Amino acid sequence: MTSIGIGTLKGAWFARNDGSGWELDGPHLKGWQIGTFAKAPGGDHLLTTSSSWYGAAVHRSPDMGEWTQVVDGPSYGENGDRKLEAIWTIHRSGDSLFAGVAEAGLFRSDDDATTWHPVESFNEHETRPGWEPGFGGLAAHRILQDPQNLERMWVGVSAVGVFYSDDGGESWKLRNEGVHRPGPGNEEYPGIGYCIHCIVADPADADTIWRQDHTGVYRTTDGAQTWHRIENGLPAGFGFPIVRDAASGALFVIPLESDQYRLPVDGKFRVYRSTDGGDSWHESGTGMPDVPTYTGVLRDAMDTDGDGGVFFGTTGGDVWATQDGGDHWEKLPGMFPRINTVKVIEE
Amino acid sequence: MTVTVTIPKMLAELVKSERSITVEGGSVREVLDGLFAVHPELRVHVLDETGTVRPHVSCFHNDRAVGSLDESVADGDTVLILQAVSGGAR
Repeated sequence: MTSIGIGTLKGAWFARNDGSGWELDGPHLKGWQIGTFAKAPGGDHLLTTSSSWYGAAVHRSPDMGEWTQVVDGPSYGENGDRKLEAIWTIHRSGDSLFAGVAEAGLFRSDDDATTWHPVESFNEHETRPGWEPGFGGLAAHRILQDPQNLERMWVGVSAVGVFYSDDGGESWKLRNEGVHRPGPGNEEYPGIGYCIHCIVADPADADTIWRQDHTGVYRTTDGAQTWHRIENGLPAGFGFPIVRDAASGALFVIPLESDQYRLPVDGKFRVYRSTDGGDSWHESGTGMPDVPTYTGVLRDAMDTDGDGGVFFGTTGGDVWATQDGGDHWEKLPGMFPRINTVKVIEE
Repeated sequence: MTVTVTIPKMLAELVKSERSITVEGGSVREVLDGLFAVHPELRVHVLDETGTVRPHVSCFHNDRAVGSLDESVADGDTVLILQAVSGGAR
């Protein structure tokens, strides 16, 4: 059984395929903007919501049917002027969870997602006064961790850069050398101003990380100390998601024409695949639209199941899937609101 | 004072509640606190981090816009929380 969560601007759906075709379940949390899906250490499913009108929250469900809001979710509290706008990502670290949020910050839960506490070492980083938002807001949206050494973490913040910790989040260093900055940078805090869109790592070699940035696609093989461009074969360097299929090691990106246009080049909406670790990229598979298709895919709207399954949702509301590592693509039934997140769900 | 507070359908569905519930309070703020005592999940959706009504949430007392959360309420009054017509750009 393959199950994916589809989080949109106006609710969540679940798509399941037991081999006989896709079936849809939803909407859940109708009307709410869905940030991401995750799983708590105790086994409950989690999803996050925000709203143009209401606050941001974490919700939990034992069966993805009835959802209950976590009362003591991430909050900046009354002392200060930061507002919790959205919860972009939830990362499991052993028996703990980390949440990356906008306005950018990290929160941690050590009690199965019941209560959440700010990670002050990150949220009050010495460069914090210089942090500036990208077009999508000022968001901590991606958290990576070395499975062999949980003390080592990487966090992506738009439009600030990649932060690295080797002491379990007690301290953080910026790690963006080699990445082109989209603007002139900050004179007072020269290490910031990088617009990271997405990062993904090789779980067997956490020092190798691939990065879809505002300014192109990059790779590091030294734990983010230095980054190098890897765009050979791509029609454009701009894009949002980057994912890796654990079964084959293949990487996937969806190029868009520059930060100014943010559209598939010439309306040719394609997934590009690299089977050599990012050294070269090629248009993947068959099944993608052969008519002009001017849509996009957001940073959290693409995921893999680790066994050749790659799934993504578009800003136009379509969901696409491959079950063979990108050789063949199919569009799932249904059309949804703008899709913020697509996640493979472990039921 | 016993006051009937009515919340938007989206929030009622969130906490699996009727839209209107009866709470005790001597001011609008106390009425809201009474609502949050029954449904603590709603605090974050009605108020922001500073305890102020969110910019795109409207609050009415007896059909008049609430000027201050400290304004007094009387027995039988109504407090209506609405999703504002603003805020729906997407």
